[in-house]
Amino acid sequence: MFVASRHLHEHPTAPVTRLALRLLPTAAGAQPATAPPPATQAIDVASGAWEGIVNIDVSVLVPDYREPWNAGQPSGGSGTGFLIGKNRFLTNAHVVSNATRILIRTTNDPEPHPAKIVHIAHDCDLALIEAEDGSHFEKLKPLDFGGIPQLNTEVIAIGYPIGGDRISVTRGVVSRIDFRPYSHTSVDSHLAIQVDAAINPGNSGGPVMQEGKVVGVAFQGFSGRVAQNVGYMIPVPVIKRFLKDIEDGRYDHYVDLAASDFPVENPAQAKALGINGDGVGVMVGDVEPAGSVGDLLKIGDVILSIDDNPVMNNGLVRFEGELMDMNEIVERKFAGDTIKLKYMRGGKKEEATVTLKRFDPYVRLGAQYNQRPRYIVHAGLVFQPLDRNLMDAHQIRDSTVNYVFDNFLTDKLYVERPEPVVLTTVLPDEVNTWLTPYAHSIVDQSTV
Amino acid sequence: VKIKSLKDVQTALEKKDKAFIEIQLLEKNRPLALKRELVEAAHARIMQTYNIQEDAYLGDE
Repeated sequence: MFVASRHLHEHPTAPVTRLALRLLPTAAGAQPATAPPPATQAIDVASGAWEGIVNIDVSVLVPDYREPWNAGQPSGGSGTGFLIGKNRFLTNAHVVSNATRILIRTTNDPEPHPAKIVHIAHDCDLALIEAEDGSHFEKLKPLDFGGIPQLNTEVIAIGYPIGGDRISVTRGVVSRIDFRPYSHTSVDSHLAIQVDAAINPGNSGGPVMQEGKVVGVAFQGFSGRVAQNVGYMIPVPVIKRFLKDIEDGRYDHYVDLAASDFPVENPAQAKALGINGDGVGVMVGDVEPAGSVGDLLKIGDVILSIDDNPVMNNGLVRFEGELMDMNEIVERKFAGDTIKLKYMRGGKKEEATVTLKRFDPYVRLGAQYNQRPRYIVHAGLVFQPLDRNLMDAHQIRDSTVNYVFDNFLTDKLYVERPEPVVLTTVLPDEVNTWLTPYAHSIVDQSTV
Repeated sequence: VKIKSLKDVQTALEKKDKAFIEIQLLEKNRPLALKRELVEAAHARIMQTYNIQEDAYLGDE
Protein backbone atom coordinates (compact mmCIF):
# COMPACT_ATOMS: atom_id res chain seq x y z
CA MET A 1 0.00 0.00 0.00
CA PHE A 2 2.67 2.45 1.06
CA VAL A 3 5.48 2.74 -1.39
CA ALA A 4 8.85 4.21 -0.63
CA SER A 5 9.76 6.43 -3.51
CA ARG A 6 13.27 5.42 -4.59
CA HIS A 7 13.28 5.33 -8.36
CA LEU A 8 14.42 1.94 -9.59
CA HIS A 9 16.40 2.08 -12.79
CA GLU A 10 14.57 0.94 -15.85
CA HIS A 11 16.22 -1.68 -17.98
CA PRO A 12 17.89 0.12 -20.91
CA THR A 13 15.81 -1.79 -23.43
CA ALA A 14 12.54 -1.48 -21.54
CA PRO A 15 9.91 0.59 -23.29
CA VAL A 16 9.38 4.01 -21.79
CA THR A 17 5.61 3.68 -22.03
CA ARG A 18 5.49 2.74 -18.35
CA LEU A 19 4.69 6.38 -17.74
CA ALA A 20 1.39 7.46 -19.15
CA LEU A 21 2.15 11.14 -19.56
CA ARG A 22 -0.97 13.13 -20.19
CA LEU A 23 -0.56 16.61 -21.63
CA LEU A 24 -3.24 19.11 -20.79
CA PRO A 25 -4.82 20.64 -23.92
CA THR A 26 -4.19 24.31 -24.47
CA ALA A 27 -7.24 26.30 -25.40
CA ALA A 28 -6.47 29.27 -27.63
CA GLY A 29 -7.62 32.46 -26.03
CA ALA A 30 -8.46 30.78 -22.73
CA GLN A 31 -7.73 32.80 -19.64
CA PRO A 32 -5.82 31.28 -16.76
CA ALA A 33 -8.09 30.47 -13.82
CA THR A 34 -5.85 32.29 -11.41
CA ALA A 35 -3.32 35.05 -11.67
CA PRO A 36 0.24 33.90 -12.34
CA PRO A 37 2.37 33.56 -9.22
CA PRO A 38 4.42 36.60 -8.28
CA ALA A 39 7.86 36.77 -9.83
CA THR A 40 9.48 36.52 -6.40
CA GLN A 41 8.49 32.87 -6.25
CA ALA A 42 10.46 32.05 -9.37
CA ILE A 43 13.77 30.33 -8.78
CA ASP A 44 16.72 30.78 -11.07
CA VAL A 45 18.38 27.37 -10.92
CA ALA A 46 21.59 28.92 -12.23
CA SER A 47 21.72 31.16 -9.15
CA GLY A 48 22.97 28.26 -7.09
CA ALA A 49 20.25 28.64 -4.45
CA TRP A 50 19.28 25.02 -4.87
CA GLU A 51 22.63 23.64 -5.95
CA GLY A 52 22.93 21.87 -2.61
CA ILE A 53 20.08 19.61 -3.70
CA VAL A 54 21.72 16.65 -5.40
CA ASN A 55 20.71 13.67 -7.43
CA ILE A 56 21.86 10.39 -5.87
CA ASP A 57 22.52 7.44 -8.13
CA VAL A 58 22.95 4.14 -6.34
CA SER A 59 24.17 0.67 -7.29
CA VAL A 60 22.73 -1.93 -4.96
CA LEU A 61 23.40 -5.54 -4.03
CA VAL A 62 20.21 -7.06 -2.65
CA PRO A 63 21.05 -9.88 -0.21
CA ASP A 64 19.90 -13.33 -1.31
CA TYR A 65 17.98 -14.91 1.58
CA ARG A 66 17.08 -17.98 -0.49
CA GLU A 67 20.71 -18.90 -1.17
CA PRO A 68 22.42 -16.87 1.55
CA TRP A 69 25.94 -17.98 0.58
CA ASN A 70 25.60 -16.04 -2.68
CA ALA A 71 26.70 -12.41 -3.02
CA GLY A 72 23.23 -11.12 -3.85
CA GLN A 73 21.31 -9.60 -6.74
CA PRO A 74 22.70 -6.42 -8.35
CA SER A 75 20.21 -3.62 -8.83
CA GLY A 76 20.13 0.15 -8.91
CA GLY A 77 18.06 3.22 -8.23
CA SER A 78 18.12 6.93 -7.72
CA GLY A 79 16.88 9.50 -5.25
CA THR A 80 17.58 12.97 -3.93
CA GLY A 81 19.65 14.43 -1.11
CA PHE A 82 20.54 17.90 0.11
CA LEU A 83 23.43 19.64 1.76
CA ILE A 84 22.93 20.39 5.47
CA GLY A 85 26.52 21.10 6.51
CA LYS A 86 30.09 20.85 5.31
CA ASN A 87 30.10 17.86 2.94
CA ARG A 88 27.07 16.39 4.71
CA PHE A 89 24.07 15.40 2.59
CA LEU A 90 20.80 14.22 4.12
CA THR A 91 18.70 11.65 2.29
CA ASN A 92 16.44 8.68 2.99
CA ALA A 93 17.87 5.43 4.30
CA HIS A 94 15.93 3.55 1.62
CA VAL A 95 17.72 5.53 -1.11
CA VAL A 96 21.14 4.20 -0.07
CA SER A 97 20.24 0.88 1.60
CA ASN A 98 22.36 -2.07 0.45
CA ALA A 99 24.39 0.34 -1.69
CA THR A 100 27.67 -0.79 -3.23
CA ARG A 101 28.30 2.48 -5.05
CA ILE A 102 26.83 5.96 -4.54
CA LEU A 103 27.26 8.83 -6.99
CA ILE A 104 25.96 12.35 -6.41
CA ARG A 105 25.65 15.26 -8.80
CA THR A 106 24.13 18.72 -8.72
CA THR A 107 21.71 19.98 -11.33
CA ASN A 108 24.36 22.27 -12.86
CA ASP A 109 27.28 19.85 -12.69
CA PRO A 110 26.99 16.77 -14.89
CA GLU A 111 30.01 15.12 -13.30
CA PRO A 112 29.11 12.36 -10.82
CA HIS A 113 31.04 12.34 -7.55
CA PRO A 114 31.49 9.15 -5.50
CA ALA A 115 29.98 9.29 -2.02
CA LYS A 116 29.66 7.05 1.01
CA ILE A 117 27.29 6.54 3.93
CA VAL A 118 28.31 8.24 7.18
CA HIS A 119 25.27 7.24 9.26
CA ILE A 120 22.11 5.35 8.37
CA ALA A 121 18.96 5.02 10.48
CA HIS A 122 16.56 2.49 9.02
CA ASP A 123 14.01 2.96 11.81
CA CYS A 124 13.35 6.55 10.74
CA ASP A 125 14.38 6.18 7.08
CA LEU A 126 17.16 8.79 7.18
CA ALA A 127 20.80 8.67 6.18
CA LEU A 128 23.73 11.04 6.09
CA ILE A 129 26.18 10.67 3.23
CA GLU A 130 29.34 12.52 2.26
CA ALA A 131 31.25 12.97 -0.99
CA GLU A 132 34.57 11.14 -0.98
CA ASP A 133 36.10 14.38 -2.24
CA GLY A 134 34.14 17.17 -0.60
CA SER A 135 36.05 19.97 -2.34
CA HIS A 136 33.55 20.02 -5.22
CA PHE A 137 30.78 21.06 -2.83
CA GLU A 138 32.63 23.53 -0.61
CA LYS A 139 31.06 26.60 -2.18
CA LEU A 140 27.49 25.33 -1.99
CA LYS A 141 25.16 26.79 0.60
CA PRO A 142 23.60 24.31 3.03
CA LEU A 143 19.84 24.39 3.41
CA ASP A 144 18.39 25.57 6.72
CA PHE A 145 15.67 23.83 8.71
CA GLY A 146 12.33 25.38 9.66
CA GLY A 147 9.73 23.94 12.03
CA ILE A 148 6.50 21.98 11.73
CA PRO A 149 4.38 23.70 9.06
CA GLN A 150 0.75 24.41 9.83
CA LEU A 151 -2.16 22.69 8.16
CA ASN A 152 -3.25 24.12 4.81
CA THR A 153 -0.03 26.07 4.33
CA GLU A 154 1.88 25.83 1.07
CA VAL A 155 5.01 23.72 0.62
CA ILE A 156 7.17 22.76 -2.35
CA ALA A 157 8.87 19.40 -2.91
CA ILE A 158 12.18 19.55 -4.75
CA GLY A 159 14.10 16.64 -6.18
CA TYR A 160 14.95 14.45 -9.12
CA PRO A 161 11.85 12.29 -9.69
CA ILE A 162 11.01 10.28 -12.78
CA GLY A 163 10.07 12.25 -15.84
CA GLY A 164 13.37 14.00 -16.59
CA ASP A 165 16.96 14.50 -15.56
CA ARG A 166 16.89 18.07 -14.25
CA ILE A 167 15.71 19.26 -10.87
CA SER A 168 11.94 19.24 -10.40
CA VAL A 169 9.56 21.24 -8.21
CA THR A 170 6.01 20.33 -7.20
CA ARG A 171 3.70 22.36 -5.02
CA GLY A 172 0.98 21.52 -2.52
CA VAL A 173 -0.35 22.13 0.97
CA VAL A 174 0.09 20.41 4.31
CA SER A 175 -2.89 18.04 4.49
CA ARG A 176 -2.35 16.20 7.76
CA ILE A 177 0.10 15.87 10.66
CA ASP A 178 -0.04 12.44 12.19
CA PHE A 179 1.80 9.49 13.69
CA ARG A 180 2.23 7.14 10.70
CA PRO A 181 3.94 3.86 9.80
CA TYR A 182 7.25 4.27 7.98
CA SER A 183 7.23 1.74 5.14
CA HIS A 184 11.01 1.25 4.93
CA THR A 185 11.05 -1.20 7.86
CA SER A 186 7.25 -1.67 8.01
CA VAL A 187 7.35 -1.87 11.83
CA ASP A 188 8.30 1.67 12.83
CA SER A 189 5.87 4.55 13.25
CA HIS A 190 6.81 8.18 13.79
CA LEU A 191 5.44 11.62 13.19
CA ALA A 192 4.86 12.19 9.48
CA ILE A 193 3.35 15.05 7.51
CA GLN A 194 1.01 14.40 4.62
CA VAL A 195 1.17 16.79 1.67
CA ASP A 196 -0.69 16.89 -1.62
CA ALA A 197 2.38 18.00 -3.58
CA ALA A 198 3.27 15.22 -6.02
CA ILE A 199 5.94 12.97 -4.52
CA ASN A 200 7.10 10.47 -7.07
CA PRO A 201 9.83 7.82 -7.34
CA GLY A 202 13.13 9.69 -7.25
CA ASN A 203 11.81 12.43 -4.94
CA SER A 204 12.88 10.34 -1.97
CA GLY A 205 15.35 12.13 0.26
CA GLY A 206 14.61 15.52 -1.27
CA PRO A 207 13.68 18.59 0.77
CA VAL A 208 10.14 19.84 1.21
CA MET A 209 10.41 23.58 1.77
CA GLN A 210 8.37 26.46 3.08
CA GLU A 211 9.51 30.06 2.97
CA GLY A 212 13.02 29.01 1.99
CA LYS A 213 13.50 26.56 4.84
CA VAL A 214 13.38 22.78 4.92
CA VAL A 215 10.27 21.54 6.74
CA GLY A 216 10.61 17.88 5.81
CA VAL A 217 12.21 15.14 3.74
CA ALA A 218 9.98 13.55 1.07
CA PHE A 219 9.92 9.80 1.64
CA GLN A 220 6.80 7.84 0.77
CA GLY A 221 3.37 7.98 -0.75
CA PHE A 222 0.45 5.83 -1.69
CA SER A 223 0.45 4.04 -4.98
CA GLY A 224 -1.76 5.84 -7.52
CA ARG A 225 -4.02 2.78 -7.52
CA VAL A 226 -4.88 3.40 -3.86
CA ALA A 227 -5.07 7.16 -3.38
CA GLN A 228 -4.31 10.35 -5.26
CA ASN A 229 -2.09 13.22 -4.10
CA VAL A 230 -1.12 11.60 -0.82
CA GLY A 231 2.58 12.01 -0.19
CA TYR A 232 4.46 12.04 3.09
CA MET A 233 7.49 13.83 4.44
CA ILE A 234 9.62 13.19 7.49
CA PRO A 235 9.19 16.30 9.67
CA VAL A 236 11.93 18.34 11.28
CA PRO A 237 11.59 16.89 14.83
CA VAL A 238 12.38 13.42 13.47
CA ILE A 239 15.27 14.78 11.39
CA LYS A 240 16.72 16.73 14.31
CA ARG A 241 16.42 13.71 16.57
CA PHE A 242 18.45 11.68 14.04
CA LEU A 243 21.10 14.41 13.78
CA LYS A 244 21.35 14.71 17.55
CA ASP A 245 21.57 10.92 17.99
CA ILE A 246 24.60 10.71 15.70
CA GLU A 247 26.47 13.58 17.37
CA ASP A 248 28.44 11.04 19.42
CA GLY A 249 29.55 9.25 16.25
CA ARG A 250 27.03 6.42 16.21
CA TYR A 251 23.31 5.90 15.78
CA ASP A 252 21.59 4.38 18.83
CA HIS A 253 18.11 3.79 17.39
CA TYR A 254 14.74 4.80 18.78
CA VAL A 255 13.70 3.93 22.28
CA ASP A 256 10.27 2.59 23.09
CA LEU A 257 7.90 2.18 26.01
CA ALA A 258 6.99 -1.21 24.47
CA ALA A 259 3.50 -1.03 25.93
CA SER A 260 0.24 -0.62 24.08
CA ASP A 261 -2.76 1.37 25.25
CA PHE A 262 -6.47 0.77 25.13
CA PRO A 263 -8.93 3.69 24.96
CA VAL A 264 -11.16 4.07 28.01
CA GLU A 265 -14.43 5.23 26.47
CA ASN A 266 -16.99 3.19 28.37
CA PRO A 267 -18.24 5.21 31.42
CA ALA A 268 -18.62 2.13 33.60
CA GLN A 269 -15.13 0.96 32.71
CA ALA A 270 -13.69 4.40 33.48
CA LYS A 271 -15.44 4.39 36.87
CA ALA A 272 -14.22 0.89 37.65
CA LEU A 273 -10.65 1.97 36.88
CA GLY A 274 -11.00 4.95 39.21
CA ILE A 275 -10.87 7.60 36.45
CA ASN A 276 -12.81 10.69 37.51
CA GLY A 277 -14.38 11.48 34.14
CA ASP A 278 -12.23 14.43 33.06
CA GLY A 279 -11.11 12.55 29.93
CA VAL A 280 -7.61 11.94 31.27
CA GLY A 281 -6.16 8.44 31.49
CA VAL A 282 -5.65 5.61 29.03
CA MET A 283 -5.60 1.95 30.02
CA VAL A 284 -2.50 -0.19 29.49
CA GLY A 285 -3.51 -2.91 27.01
CA ASP A 286 -0.27 -4.86 26.95
CA VAL A 287 3.27 -4.66 28.28
CA GLU A 288 6.37 -6.27 26.79
CA PRO A 289 8.57 -7.82 29.49
CA ALA A 290 11.74 -6.80 27.62
CA GLY A 291 10.59 -3.20 27.15
CA SER A 292 11.35 -0.02 29.10
CA VAL A 293 8.27 -0.34 31.35
CA GLY A 294 8.27 -4.17 31.48
CA ASP A 295 9.11 -4.16 35.19
CA LEU A 296 6.77 -1.29 36.04
CA LEU A 297 3.39 -1.30 34.32
CA LYS A 298 0.77 -4.02 34.30
CA ILE A 299 -2.19 -4.64 32.02
CA GLY A 300 -5.12 -2.67 33.42
CA ASP A 301 -3.02 0.19 34.82
CA VAL A 302 -4.11 3.66 33.70
CA ILE A 303 -1.47 6.05 32.37
CA LEU A 304 -2.32 9.57 33.54
CA SER A 305 0.62 11.62 32.30
CA ILE A 306 4.04 11.43 30.66
CA ASP A 307 6.56 14.08 31.67
CA ASP A 308 3.62 16.02 33.17
CA ASN A 309 1.72 16.03 29.86
CA PRO A 310 -1.79 14.69 30.62
CA VAL A 311 -2.65 11.60 28.53
CA MET A 312 -6.23 11.63 27.25
CA ASN A 313 -8.47 8.57 27.26
CA ASN A 314 -7.59 7.89 23.60
CA GLY A 315 -3.83 7.92 24.18
CA LEU A 316 -3.25 11.41 22.80
CA VAL A 317 -1.37 14.26 24.45
CA ARG A 318 -1.30 17.96 23.62
CA PHE A 319 2.35 18.50 22.82
CA GLU A 320 3.90 21.60 21.28
CA GLY A 321 0.44 22.88 20.40
CA GLU A 322 -0.68 19.76 18.53
CA LEU A 323 -2.61 16.66 19.58
CA MET A 324 -0.21 13.76 19.22
CA ASP A 325 0.13 10.13 20.23
CA MET A 326 1.70 9.92 23.69
CA ASN A 327 4.55 7.93 22.19
CA GLU A 328 5.69 11.12 20.45
CA ILE A 329 7.10 12.29 23.80
CA VAL A 330 9.13 9.09 24.06
CA GLU A 331 10.15 9.43 20.41
CA ARG A 332 12.03 12.65 21.09
CA LYS A 333 14.17 10.96 23.76
CA PHE A 334 17.35 8.90 23.46
CA ALA A 335 18.65 5.65 24.90
CA GLY A 336 19.36 6.20 28.60
CA ASP A 337 17.07 9.24 28.93
CA THR A 338 14.29 9.12 31.51
CA ILE A 339 10.60 9.97 31.55
CA LYS A 340 8.33 10.71 34.45
CA LEU A 341 5.27 8.50 34.39
CA LYS A 342 2.13 9.01 36.48
CA TYR A 343 -0.29 6.10 36.49
CA MET A 344 -3.13 4.61 38.48
CA ARG A 345 -3.30 1.05 39.78
CA GLY A 346 -6.30 -0.21 41.70
CA GLY A 347 -7.57 3.33 42.15
CA LYS A 348 -4.30 4.51 43.69
CA LYS A 349 -2.07 7.07 41.97
CA GLU A 350 1.57 6.11 41.49
CA GLU A 351 4.58 7.90 40.03
CA ALA A 352 7.83 6.54 38.65
CA THR A 353 10.85 7.56 36.60
CA VAL A 354 11.60 5.22 33.73
CA THR A 355 14.93 4.83 31.90
CA LEU A 356 14.26 4.36 28.20
CA LYS A 357 15.84 1.66 26.05
CA ARG A 358 15.44 0.11 22.63
CA PHE A 359 13.02 -2.80 22.36
CA ASP A 360 15.09 -5.29 20.36
CA PRO A 361 12.66 -8.19 19.65
CA TYR A 362 10.56 -6.11 17.24
CA VAL A 363 13.54 -5.51 14.94
CA ARG A 364 13.31 -8.99 13.39
CA LEU A 365 9.69 -8.33 12.45
CA GLY A 366 10.74 -5.49 10.16
CA ALA A 367 12.76 -5.40 6.96
CA GLN A 368 16.52 -5.23 7.60
CA TYR A 369 19.20 -3.84 5.33
CA ASN A 370 22.95 -3.51 4.94
CA GLN A 371 23.64 -6.88 6.41
CA ARG A 372 24.72 -10.24 5.11
CA PRO A 373 22.23 -13.10 5.70
CA ARG A 374 23.26 -15.49 8.46
CA TYR A 375 23.01 -19.24 7.87
CA ILE A 376 24.42 -22.71 8.46
CA VAL A 377 24.56 -25.46 5.82
CA HIS A 378 25.03 -28.98 7.13
CA ALA A 379 24.50 -32.12 5.05
CA GLY A 380 22.44 -30.05 2.66
CA LEU A 381 20.17 -28.76 5.44
CA VAL A 382 20.04 -24.94 5.45
CA PHE A 383 19.34 -23.27 8.79
CA GLN A 384 18.49 -19.54 8.99
CA PRO A 385 17.18 -17.24 11.74
CA LEU A 386 13.54 -16.30 11.41
CA ASP A 387 12.97 -12.67 10.39
CA ARG A 388 10.97 -10.68 7.87
CA ASN A 389 13.65 -10.88 5.19
CA LEU A 390 13.54 -14.67 5.42
CA MET A 391 9.72 -14.76 5.39
CA ASP A 392 9.58 -12.51 2.33
CA ALA A 393 12.26 -14.45 0.45
CA HIS A 394 10.99 -17.97 1.13
CA GLN A 395 7.25 -17.21 1.11
CA ILE A 396 6.78 -19.74 3.90
CA ARG A 397 3.25 -21.09 4.30
CA ASP A 398 3.88 -23.52 7.15
CA SER A 399 1.35 -22.66 9.84
CA THR A 400 3.77 -23.09 12.76
CA VAL A 401 6.40 -20.78 11.24
CA ASN A 402 3.75 -18.20 10.43
CA TYR A 403 2.29 -18.48 13.92
CA VAL A 404 5.69 -17.90 15.54
CA PHE A 405 6.43 -14.93 13.27
CA ASP A 406 3.00 -13.32 13.62
CA ASN A 407 2.81 -13.81 17.38
CA PHE A 408 6.47 -13.30 18.23
CA LEU A 409 5.62 -10.17 20.21
CA THR A 410 1.96 -10.57 21.04
CA ASP A 411 2.42 -14.00 22.62
CA LYS A 412 5.88 -13.01 23.93
CA LEU A 413 7.49 -15.97 22.17
CA TYR A 414 10.79 -14.09 22.16
CA VAL A 415 11.14 -14.73 25.89
CA GLU A 416 11.61 -18.48 25.42
CA ARG A 417 13.17 -18.40 21.96
CA PRO A 418 14.89 -15.05 21.18
CA GLU A 419 15.98 -16.13 17.69
CA PRO A 420 13.83 -18.91 16.22
CA VAL A 421 15.74 -20.95 13.63
CA VAL A 422 14.08 -22.25 10.48
CA LEU A 423 15.15 -25.23 8.40
CA THR A 424 14.54 -23.34 5.16
CA THR A 425 15.90 -25.64 2.47
CA VAL A 426 17.02 -29.22 1.93
CA LEU A 427 19.59 -29.25 -0.88
CA PRO A 428 18.92 -32.63 -2.53
CA ASP A 429 21.64 -35.24 -2.04
CA GLU A 430 21.59 -38.96 -1.36
CA VAL A 431 22.41 -38.29 2.30
CA ASN A 432 19.13 -36.42 2.84
CA THR A 433 16.84 -38.34 0.52
CA TRP A 434 13.14 -37.99 1.45
CA LEU A 435 13.81 -35.19 3.90
CA THR A 436 12.55 -32.36 1.67
CA PRO A 437 9.10 -32.23 3.39
CA TYR A 438 10.87 -31.15 6.59
CA ALA A 439 11.84 -27.84 5.01
CA HIS A 440 10.06 -24.69 6.28
CA SER A 441 9.95 -25.91 9.86
CA ILE A 442 11.18 -24.35 13.09
CA VAL A 443 14.03 -26.24 14.75
CA ASP A 444 13.05 -27.08 18.31
CA GLN A 445 16.00 -29.11 19.56
CA SER A 446 18.80 -31.32 18.41
CA THR A 447 20.16 -34.56 19.80
CA VAL A 448 23.60 -35.37 18.48
CA VAL B 1 20.28 -28.96 22.85
CA LYS B 2 17.34 -26.54 22.87
CA ILE B 3 17.61 -24.26 19.84
CA LYS B 4 17.10 -20.64 20.87
CA SER B 5 19.39 -19.08 18.28
CA LEU B 6 21.45 -19.93 15.21
CA LYS B 7 24.49 -20.20 17.45
CA ASP B 8 22.77 -23.10 19.27
CA VAL B 9 22.53 -24.98 15.95
CA GLN B 10 26.26 -24.63 15.48
CA THR B 11 26.91 -25.79 19.05
CA ALA B 12 24.63 -28.81 18.59
CA LEU B 13 26.19 -29.84 15.29
CA GLU B 14 29.72 -29.63 16.72
CA LYS B 15 28.89 -32.36 19.25
CA LYS B 16 29.72 -35.76 17.90
CA ASP B 17 28.66 -38.09 20.71
CA LYS B 18 26.16 -40.25 18.86
CA ALA B 19 25.97 -42.15 15.60
CA PHE B 20 22.91 -40.19 14.44
CA ILE B 21 22.06 -36.50 14.21
CA GLU B 22 18.46 -36.16 15.35
CA ILE B 23 16.60 -32.89 14.93
CA GLN B 24 13.21 -32.20 16.51
CA LEU B 25 11.05 -29.71 14.66
CA LEU B 26 8.44 -27.59 16.40
CA GLU B 27 4.92 -29.04 16.15
CA LYS B 28 6.17 -31.86 13.92
CA ASN B 29 5.80 -35.26 15.50
CA ARG B 30 8.47 -37.03 13.50
CA PRO B 31 12.15 -36.24 14.12
CA LEU B 32 14.59 -35.79 11.29
CA ALA B 33 17.57 -38.17 11.48
CA LEU B 34 20.85 -38.43 9.59
CA LYS B 35 23.58 -41.02 9.96
CA ARG B 36 26.68 -39.19 11.10
CA GLU B 37 29.28 -41.14 9.13
CA LEU B 38 27.34 -40.48 5.92
CA VAL B 39 26.96 -36.79 6.76
CA GLU B 40 30.68 -36.28 7.18
CA ALA B 41 31.32 -37.82 3.77
CA ALA B 42 28.50 -35.95 2.05
CA HIS B 43 29.34 -32.49 3.30
CA ALA B 44 32.22 -31.74 0.91
CA ARG B 45 30.26 -33.21 -1.98
CA ILE B 46 27.24 -31.01 -1.31
CA MET B 47 29.37 -27.89 -0.92
CA GLN B 48 30.95 -28.56 -4.30
CA THR B 49 27.72 -29.51 -6.05
CA TYR B 50 25.96 -26.33 -4.98
CA ASN B 51 29.04 -24.12 -5.27
CA ILE B 52 28.91 -23.04 -1.63
CA GLN B 53 32.14 -21.41 -0.49
CA GLU B 54 31.34 -21.10 3.23
CA ASP B 55 29.16 -23.57 5.13
CA ALA B 56 28.19 -20.96 7.74
CA TYR B 57 28.00 -17.26 8.34
CA LEU B 58 26.96 -16.39 11.88
CA GLY B 59 27.49 -12.64 11.70
CA ASP B 60 30.14 -10.29 12.94
CA GLU B 61 29.51 -10.83 16.61
